Amino acid sequence: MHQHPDPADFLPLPADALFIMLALAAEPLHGYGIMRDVEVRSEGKVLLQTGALYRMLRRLLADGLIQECDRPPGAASDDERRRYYQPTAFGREVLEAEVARMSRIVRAARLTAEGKRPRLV
Amino acid sequence: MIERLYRVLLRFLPRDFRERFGQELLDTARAVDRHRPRGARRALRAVVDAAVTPFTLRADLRDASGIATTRRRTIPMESLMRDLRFAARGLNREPGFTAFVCLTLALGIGANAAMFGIADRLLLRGPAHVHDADRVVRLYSTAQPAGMRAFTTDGFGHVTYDLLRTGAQSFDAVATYAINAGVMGQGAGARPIQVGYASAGLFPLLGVQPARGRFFSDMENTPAGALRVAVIGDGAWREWFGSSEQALGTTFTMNDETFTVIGIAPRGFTGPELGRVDVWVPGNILAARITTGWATAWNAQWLKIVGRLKPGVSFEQAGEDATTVHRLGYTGGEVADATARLSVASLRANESGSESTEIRVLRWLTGVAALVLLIACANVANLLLARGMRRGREVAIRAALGASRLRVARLLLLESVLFAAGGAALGLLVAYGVGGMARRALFSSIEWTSSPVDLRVLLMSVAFAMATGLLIGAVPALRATRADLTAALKTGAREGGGRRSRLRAALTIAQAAVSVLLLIGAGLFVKSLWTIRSLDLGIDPDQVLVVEVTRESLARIPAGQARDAERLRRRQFLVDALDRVRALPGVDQASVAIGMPFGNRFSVKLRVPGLDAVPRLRTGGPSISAVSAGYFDTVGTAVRRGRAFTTDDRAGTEPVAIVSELMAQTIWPGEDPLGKCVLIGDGAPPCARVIGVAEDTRRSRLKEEPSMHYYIPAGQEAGFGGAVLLVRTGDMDGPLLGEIRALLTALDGTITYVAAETVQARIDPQMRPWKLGASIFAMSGLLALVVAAIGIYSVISYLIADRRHEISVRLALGAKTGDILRLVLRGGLVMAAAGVFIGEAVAASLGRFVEPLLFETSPRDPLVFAGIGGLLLVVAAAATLAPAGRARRVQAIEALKEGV
Repeated sequence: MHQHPDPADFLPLPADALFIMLALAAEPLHGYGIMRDVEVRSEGKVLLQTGALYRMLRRLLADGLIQECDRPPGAASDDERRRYYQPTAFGREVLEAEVARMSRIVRAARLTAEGKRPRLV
Repeated sequence: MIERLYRVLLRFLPRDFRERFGQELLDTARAVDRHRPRGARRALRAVVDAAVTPFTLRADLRDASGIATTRRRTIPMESLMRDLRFAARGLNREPGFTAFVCLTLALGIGANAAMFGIADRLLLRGPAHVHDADRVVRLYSTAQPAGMRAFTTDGFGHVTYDLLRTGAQSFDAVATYAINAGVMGQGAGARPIQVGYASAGLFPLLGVQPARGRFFSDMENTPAGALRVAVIGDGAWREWFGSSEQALGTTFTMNDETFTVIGIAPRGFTGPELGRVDVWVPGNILAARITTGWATAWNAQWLKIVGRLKPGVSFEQAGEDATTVHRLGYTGGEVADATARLSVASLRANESGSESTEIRVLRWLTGVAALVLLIACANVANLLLARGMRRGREVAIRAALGASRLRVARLLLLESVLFAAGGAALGLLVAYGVGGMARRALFSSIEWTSSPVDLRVLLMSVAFAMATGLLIGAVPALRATRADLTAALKTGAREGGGRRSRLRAALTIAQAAVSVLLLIGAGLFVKSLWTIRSLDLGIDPDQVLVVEVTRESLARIPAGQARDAERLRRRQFLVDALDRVRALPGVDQASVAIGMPFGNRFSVKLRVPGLDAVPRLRTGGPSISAVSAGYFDTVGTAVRRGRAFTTDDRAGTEPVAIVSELMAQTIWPGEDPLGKCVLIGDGAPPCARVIGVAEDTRRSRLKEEPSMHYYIPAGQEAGFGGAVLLVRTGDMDGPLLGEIRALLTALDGTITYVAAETVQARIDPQMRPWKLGASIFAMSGLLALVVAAIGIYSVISYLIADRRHEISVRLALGAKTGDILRLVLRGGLVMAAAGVFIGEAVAASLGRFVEPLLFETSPRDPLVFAGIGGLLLVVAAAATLAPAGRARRVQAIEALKEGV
């Protein structure tokens, strides 16, 4: 199903998904680690709830954007059972595409704010 | 807390998801619990998350994939949540309106939830801890004595039980019980309790398990003699034994005997009935006290018999089976008993096999509660319609912007469901209050162990709320789907008088009609109550205190002379104590009676010289009581002719009698009864001379046909006994009762307990149906009246706001303010009059259903009908005049400003 997927099919990413992908792109994390990272990364604006988090993780796994991985060597081994997640190669593509898309929007917004007219180069 | 929440959530999630993510999800929730700061806001977000996830997740799964597809369409649930939030914000904008609507609905939903809580126990679930209560029946016997009314009773002798147990095929098991008053403890600490006397088979028949210890067995309840073992009720265990685990095996004193505790009944267990039972003991203990030959006697009937029907056996079959067994096995001499018909009925039936007063009352309560909810709904629907008009344009704009009509209708429905949810939440408080009050005031004989709001009531309230929400939302929602866009969007559009206001007027009229209906019910019951209060019972029940003493058992004294002497002393004790009682401050008069109105009733063989037989009335032959000097003054019965008894009328003096007026007229019609002779008792008694005629009195019921009665002096009675002390006083609330107790126990050391109540207290249970009816209907009727008044007020207000323009034009054209007022007032009064007309018509046609519940009051009492009609019109006029003031302030100039 995901043999030749086009990253554009997944854009725009829901805000929750985007923040989760950003968190995992930095380092492999487990569930609670993701919640904490997202909170920090969004400057406290996005507070993921447990149910919503796992619902989103299931979707990202099903779409092949993330995968399970081994516990990173540096992580505190407080619980053996914890599962860690990291983006797949395709997931990173989607994330890059999404960030690029958002950058264009931000650029456009800035130009507008400065009263300039965008030009095609 | 959050972890527990998600533990619950997991149960609602699809299995695949649960297996893959469940453990992780809980670990994370635990981490959240541990690390994240707590707070109401956070908790709320978690609750919402947990509540929404099952739906959103399922929606994801339906789409079979992840982000790629779910991005493309709106999940209905999300839009529903959005609408819900939108609706909630809308309600938040109008807090006053919202509060009023929620309060109105709370009254309706609360009343219904409270009634359900009571109906649940009385009608639906039956006595607590009875397994499959529908198959458990009580037996009844209906006998038809010659010349008298058929008589149904649930009292049986032990013989019938034996016959049924061995001969009847319809029952899996048969058991007996009797619930009697008893005295717990001795001396100053003694207190009255309810004692259940049961055959050992009762507990397995009902299917109840003891909470601790065990129930007694047949070995402990043999006909030869029962052991003094007791199973105590949960309440008694808490109150007397402080819930101690050591209670088992300890002993206590009851009815002057020592019992050993062998078990504790489960909480709420009341046997086959619903009243509290403190102690269960082997039934043969009571049997041995009734009569010596109880195991074979046909004329001693003190037991109730219950049976568990075999599967597939109907009540009729069981009744026929029992009748056959009884008739084949009956060896007593009474023709009426030999041909008696046995029947079975549900445990809900009362002692004569028909619907109990509690259940009749409950039916009325339920009906009235439903009416209150209907009025509340009508009122709220009315307000929503009015509000819908104000919001008509908003709705039209949404529709114009592309919201589907269905979507708009859904939004309106959501709003009303939110209202109903708020109403239900408040309604639970109402249910708690009303339910608690109803239990105490109306169903006090029932042992309630659960809270008035338990899980079932809670669930039922949710159901009521959903139904209410849909009901009140249906009209505005339907209206929205038909809304005429262009008309609504036009500026300056006004309600064109048309269908909307007609519908609202109809709702208001319906409210007025229902409140008239309820108020007429109240009026009829109040009138009944008033009629009862002014009844001449032949006695003064509220001024007479009935004092009964309980003593140590005579069995303690060895049989023989000593015991006979003691028995004689006890018989004479109360009469001897009379002078001391009369000397107490506050006592107007005192006397002793064996047999009294609303108390024990005796009859003995009576012959009249010159007559073959004493004439019998429909109410039977004459009854007798033995009374001391001062009796007639004490109870307030007038002696019409001749004289009352004096202290010279006593044991050993000339036998004399005083007869009631009815008895004098029946036995000696047209003759002077004074000086006549009656022969009282078996054998060849001496002639008792009639020395007086007393006024007729009610003997046991407020609503009874008059019966014959006669009196003899205390001490001259033979064959019946059981004296009570009667004290007449004008001050029931004073310390008198304590002083009487102290006096009697000081005079006689063998007295273990002194019970006292007014005669009125014995009559009160009979007045309860009317008191109940009056209070229920009055309360709900007033409520309905208030709601109807608000309905009229709001309709008139909107009518005026709506017709402002018309009014200003009329003023501009020269109408006087008075004309305008009359116009508005007429609108309100026409609605009220229509309501009165409909309500009274319905009340008149329902009359025959209430008639049996009323006391010598016509269900179409003109005074009540006229009074209630007038009341409603006055209230309607007031509700109309309040907003009418606003019409007066309308200026003619407005017509010009607005343009026509």
